[in-house]
Amino acid sequence: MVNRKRNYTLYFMLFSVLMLLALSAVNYLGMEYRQRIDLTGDRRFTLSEGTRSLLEKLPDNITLTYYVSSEPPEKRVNLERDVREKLEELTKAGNGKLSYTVERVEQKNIATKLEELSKYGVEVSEDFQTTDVAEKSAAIGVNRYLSSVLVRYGPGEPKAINGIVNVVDAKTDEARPHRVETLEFDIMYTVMKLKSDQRKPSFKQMLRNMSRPLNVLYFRSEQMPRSNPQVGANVALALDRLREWGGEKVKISTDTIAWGERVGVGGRPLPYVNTPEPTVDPKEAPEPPATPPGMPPLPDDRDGDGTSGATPGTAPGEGKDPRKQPGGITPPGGEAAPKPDTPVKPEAKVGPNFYYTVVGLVTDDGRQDLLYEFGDDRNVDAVLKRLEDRVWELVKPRSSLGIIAPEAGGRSPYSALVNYIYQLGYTGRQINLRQDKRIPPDLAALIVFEPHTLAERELYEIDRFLAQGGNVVMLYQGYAATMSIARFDSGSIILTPIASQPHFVDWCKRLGISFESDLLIQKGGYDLAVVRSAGREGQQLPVSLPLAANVGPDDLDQGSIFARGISGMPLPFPVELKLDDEKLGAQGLTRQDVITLAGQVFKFIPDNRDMPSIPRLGLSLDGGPEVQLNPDAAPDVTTRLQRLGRPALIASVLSGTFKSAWQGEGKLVPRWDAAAAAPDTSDLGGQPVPELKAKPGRLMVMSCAGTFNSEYFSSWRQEDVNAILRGGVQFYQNIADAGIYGDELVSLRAKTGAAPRIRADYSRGERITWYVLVLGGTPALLLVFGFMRGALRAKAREEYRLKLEKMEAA
Amino acid sequence: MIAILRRELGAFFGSLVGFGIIGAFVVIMGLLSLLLDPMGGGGDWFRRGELTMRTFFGIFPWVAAVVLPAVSMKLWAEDRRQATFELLMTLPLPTWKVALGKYFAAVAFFGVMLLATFAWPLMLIKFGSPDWGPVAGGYIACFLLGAAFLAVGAFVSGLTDNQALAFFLSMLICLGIVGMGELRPLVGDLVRNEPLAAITHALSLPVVLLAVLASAVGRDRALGGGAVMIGAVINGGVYAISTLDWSESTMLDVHAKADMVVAAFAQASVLDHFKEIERGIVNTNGLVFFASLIVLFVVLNVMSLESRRYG
Amino acid sequence: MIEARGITKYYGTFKALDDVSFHVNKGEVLGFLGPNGAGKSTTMKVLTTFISASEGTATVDGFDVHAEPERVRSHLGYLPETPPLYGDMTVEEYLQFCGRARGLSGRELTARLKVVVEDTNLLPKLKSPIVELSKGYRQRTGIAQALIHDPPVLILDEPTSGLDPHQIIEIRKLIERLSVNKAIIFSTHILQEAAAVSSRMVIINGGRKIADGTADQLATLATGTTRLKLLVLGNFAGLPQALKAVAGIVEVHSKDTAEGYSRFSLEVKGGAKAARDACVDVGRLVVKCGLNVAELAQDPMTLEDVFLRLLQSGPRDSQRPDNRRVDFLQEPAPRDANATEMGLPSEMVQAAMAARAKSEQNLPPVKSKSDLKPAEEEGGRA
Repeated sequence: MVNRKRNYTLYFMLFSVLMLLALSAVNYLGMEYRQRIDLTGDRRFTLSEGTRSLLEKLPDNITLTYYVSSEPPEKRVNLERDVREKLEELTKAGNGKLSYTVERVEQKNIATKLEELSKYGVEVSEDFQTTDVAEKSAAIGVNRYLSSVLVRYGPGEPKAINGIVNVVDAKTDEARPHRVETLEFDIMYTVMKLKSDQRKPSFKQMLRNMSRPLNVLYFRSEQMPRSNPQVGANVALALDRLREWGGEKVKISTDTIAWGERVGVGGRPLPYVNTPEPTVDPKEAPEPPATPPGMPPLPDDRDGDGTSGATPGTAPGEGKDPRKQPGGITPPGGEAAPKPDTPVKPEAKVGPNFYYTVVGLVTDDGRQDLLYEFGDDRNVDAVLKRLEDRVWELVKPRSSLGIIAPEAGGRSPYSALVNYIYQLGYTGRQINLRQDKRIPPDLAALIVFEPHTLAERELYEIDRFLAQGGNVVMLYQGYAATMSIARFDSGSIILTPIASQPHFVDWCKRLGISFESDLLIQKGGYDLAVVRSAGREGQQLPVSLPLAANVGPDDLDQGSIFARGISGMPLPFPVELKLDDEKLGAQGLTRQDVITLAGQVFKFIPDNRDMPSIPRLGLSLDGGPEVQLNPDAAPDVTTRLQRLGRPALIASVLSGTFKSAWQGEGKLVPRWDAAAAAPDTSDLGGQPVPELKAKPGRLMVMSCAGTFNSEYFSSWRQEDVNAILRGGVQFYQNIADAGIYGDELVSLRAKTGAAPRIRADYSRGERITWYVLVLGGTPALLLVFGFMRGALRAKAREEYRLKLEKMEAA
Repeated sequence: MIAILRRELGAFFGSLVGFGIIGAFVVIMGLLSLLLDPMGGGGDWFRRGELTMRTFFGIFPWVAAVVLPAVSMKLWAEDRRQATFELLMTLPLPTWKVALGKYFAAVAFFGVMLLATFAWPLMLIKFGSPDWGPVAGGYIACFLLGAAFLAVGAFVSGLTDNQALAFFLSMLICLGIVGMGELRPLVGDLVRNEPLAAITHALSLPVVLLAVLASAVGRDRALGGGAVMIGAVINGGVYAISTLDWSESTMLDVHAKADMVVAAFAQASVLDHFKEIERGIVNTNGLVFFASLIVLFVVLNVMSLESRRYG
Repeated sequence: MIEARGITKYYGTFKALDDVSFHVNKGEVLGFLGPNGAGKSTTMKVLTTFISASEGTATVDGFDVHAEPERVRSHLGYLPETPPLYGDMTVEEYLQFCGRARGLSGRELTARLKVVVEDTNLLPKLKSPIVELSKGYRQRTGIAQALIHDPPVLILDEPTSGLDPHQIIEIRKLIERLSVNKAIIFSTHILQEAAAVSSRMVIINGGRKIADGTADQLATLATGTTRLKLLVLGNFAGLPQALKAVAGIVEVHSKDTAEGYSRFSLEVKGGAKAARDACVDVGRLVVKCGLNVAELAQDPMTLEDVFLRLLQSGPRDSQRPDNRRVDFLQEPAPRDANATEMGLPSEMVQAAMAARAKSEQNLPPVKSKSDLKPAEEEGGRA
């Protein structure tokens, strides 16, 4: 007889195994032939149209290499897959123009790999392991891993995008600059940069075509090491070659440092080479002297970015010999003259075991670089090769931003921006129109702070720049504030309204732009510290008030390049911007709102409009639609806060062909006012307006300019200021990029992945209503439904009973 | 099959228990996601300010792991306690149809549970313009995860005639499934430090699991017990050996394979798939994974029921 | 219609059924008789494919229960021991569900529902939730469920248990009515039940079939004697001895004496004719002894007697009366009340008690064997 039970058990086992195999296979297929649908509204995980069209237009091929650790942190176990997916999608969209490879790097090889790749800017990523318990994460420590895409486009040097993460933890990962979601943008942006990067010409060509002179400062010891006695001479020969190629544009100076001496520049020691063997007495190996022309001093505030070469050690003791400061050296003029104070030690065939070969590169627009230790470069060509790259970095054409900012006493409150822009690798050019008279036409963008204070002629120039296809950013500022207060505890911040020139108001009105007069205060904004003097010591104590709006993700048009990465940017003392869509439409201008304060925004309505002041106390933003400040303390004061009840527009980009306001019959070029410098020939004041070539341009108007006003953040710690200003810097970079890369970049969407925000104005009642609805709505419905159902059943039963009774009776 | 489905649905909605479960689910989800938000570090939804249902979907796996076993516990255990089990098993239907009918009824009921949270999306509309993609993705993910939990619950319910036991057992399994993601760092550590042990575990644990399942299904204690013993001995032994000193070269050999263990573990991580779909990416491997889970447990359920005929 | 061939079923190591074979034809009602735990339900579960047999097989309406279980199931209606009811449904909903699950729908379902409800007299409770129904209605709902798809084979596990006599009669009538074109198996541990309805009976005990045949066949099978009852006016101490001497009488029991009457029970070897002859002799003897005959008649053997005797004597088959199984006889039936689950006495006591309970109603009186009395008390206390 068959044993049915055993048969079944066997059947079960077999079936289970087969099923598991089948399911594994299906899962494998699902992984292997992965398909996906992106449901997000902005197709956050899918390529944008801008990328596709850009890929189509690119003339050269893009090669991407993804370097990824074979063991990323556990939580990022899908990192490679996610990035691959994005790259794969890009490859498909690229139609053969884009290819990628993934290179897995084992954890122990990361250091080696980095060494190889660091010249392209590849950096290691760091990640804290996520285990919610803080101690745990501390115990496990930091994960160092590699997740960088190296973008190659055209013949130039590749560029790296570092620290790409996949969003695992919404809270922390979304704050990362490079995520899988942003990768598309990051890559295309990098490609654009590479595309616009000029190809490096030959060294000769480079030097010949330099737009400005290059100063080369050569510091060398008299004596060179025995092992490489020619090193100093090699550098000198290489510098001779430079002069030969560059002609007038290259100015070389040599400073020979006496045997055994250590020198510094501006109080800082110069790096020298510490050799294991003694250096040679100069008399044994005489070298041909260099003939340096006059040279400018090497500024002492150079930043350390040129010191990537080997630095075997630093000189002990700083600036020992002030006489050796290059600024103090008078060039001997084509003659090799040892320093009169060179200590020639008769017994010294053997000297101290260090020597100098340092080359300083200084351009006359203030950029500089420093190279040292040429001991490894054994011939002239090697030295030249090293110089070439560094010189190119300095002299290659850079995009520049023009900045027009009001100055008071030779200082602009916005001067910090120039430095920041510099750090980004752009040139910021301060333009004083009254002196310069014209706007350079090659500007990537013109940033105008407080345009409403400009003279009519200045506005005319800006208007023409815009009409001819320029990118202009106008940053209006309604109020200036004095952040130090005289009054004590009950003190207020005194606001000064900044008056608008009538021609500016007209100019704006014509375009359809206007600015409200009320100061806006956003709940949850940055605290601006009011610095007050306390006591006799004059100690500064900050008193904080939320007076700078804090631009959050919900305030930004996430799809706009202008809004990319600027969340967190502070907006001190903003007002509301108004745009007239009808007028804009009539002029054929399109509008893209970039910043709209969607959080809880209040209008500040001061007691005295001419001399508004914000009381330090009583600025509570928790009240209803209208809050009277200080009703108890000062009932007679009518200062109050009024809930705006709608999002407040702060910044918008208008694009299209702007028609100049001064174009047309009988329009004359406005004159510089009397206070301006004497008119020169280029001043057309009072003459008919010349023709212009109209081109589509872009105008960003923004109703707040104070982001970089350092005074507002003076009491903050530098790290905090840097952190919050990063958004602001990014803002200007975006503007510059939009100017440089044009519509192609603007058409790219910068996907941020940030969640939409809850509408700002909801009342307490609304909130509670929804608590009740969400929690109790369904149970209530169920109760009703249950009762109805019960009642219906009972009714049906009763009817049936009656029917039966009738039947029985019948 | 339809008849079974209709009857089970009728049973869910015919009793107060069904309404109670829906109500409890909605209230618990509402409380946790709107007011308390334990996963997001606490705080209410309005203060957080995001116009999303992230808090809802974030807490869902845990709530579902507790609530859904209450839905599935009675699927078979109740019939098993009554003679209706005999009725069902002597209907002229193959067992899988009966099992599917019951399972689909539970899934449909769960669908109603999800629908009952309709106030949430309404609230999103009320307070701004939400991104519906992740909301839809989230609901899809919830549905898939819930359906998988129900499959587990149905299977467990078929093993016992004790509803309370079925509830606790399935709850434990579901919580285990959700919590498995938390094990990932441990697995990673193990793979890194004792790759050989990790590989052995990876190979032997499924065998043990299969044997345990087989014994549960076939109600053969000796088989399950034996398999667990053997598995424990193998795993323990290998673990002990692997903690001994290994030369560098041996470590390297196994290392590459150990990576696959982590990868497989990742594919098998329910929460990962859940989160990916919840983010708005509906993808094949996630769908296939949930479908496999469901198929696996429904088939196990059918086989365990069928095996009762051979008891 | 139904044919069981050597069904054996093990629960683990316990042998619940041992080589049970029987058959039921169309139009036949088979009473499945045996004490509780004898294997009646197990047999039925095998027939309904609810469980599989360890060995042997059965066919229902021509389909093998192991090979084609679904076709088997579609051809039979099954009422398990406890009616398989969903308390949360109304009778109507429940029957609709059962109908749909068995493939009925639409007008057909409505029609069948009407027929079944009328057959089982469920009309008054059609809209009531099952949870509110009395035992009788539940049982009837259970039967209705088994009938809804009009199966050619009906398997009813104790259809009358827990019902009042009136209901029992109704169900008997129903079974009789249905039996015309169906093959029906119903199990019971009540003999009258089986005798009243079934055309044939199968008695199983301890997993083995011990008898198979009509009621008369079984009675003769069980014993070789006929019983006479005798009531005599007057008292004579020598009468029992005198009666014993009568030709054919093998046993005399003096029962009780009251108001001058004496009662005797006489066992006569042989069938009815021998009994008639003995009657003449006994009448003559009594008169000869100077006593008056108040009553002298054949005392027909009750089924209880037959049943108990069969249980004690081991399996017999009406078709093969000589096929006695010696091994079974060697297995003494435990008599104490603390016997195992399979122990006979308490089971038999319960059966007898149940039977007697019925007899107190309008059923034929049932006599218990005096030698069972102690055990009966035990059962009563339990």
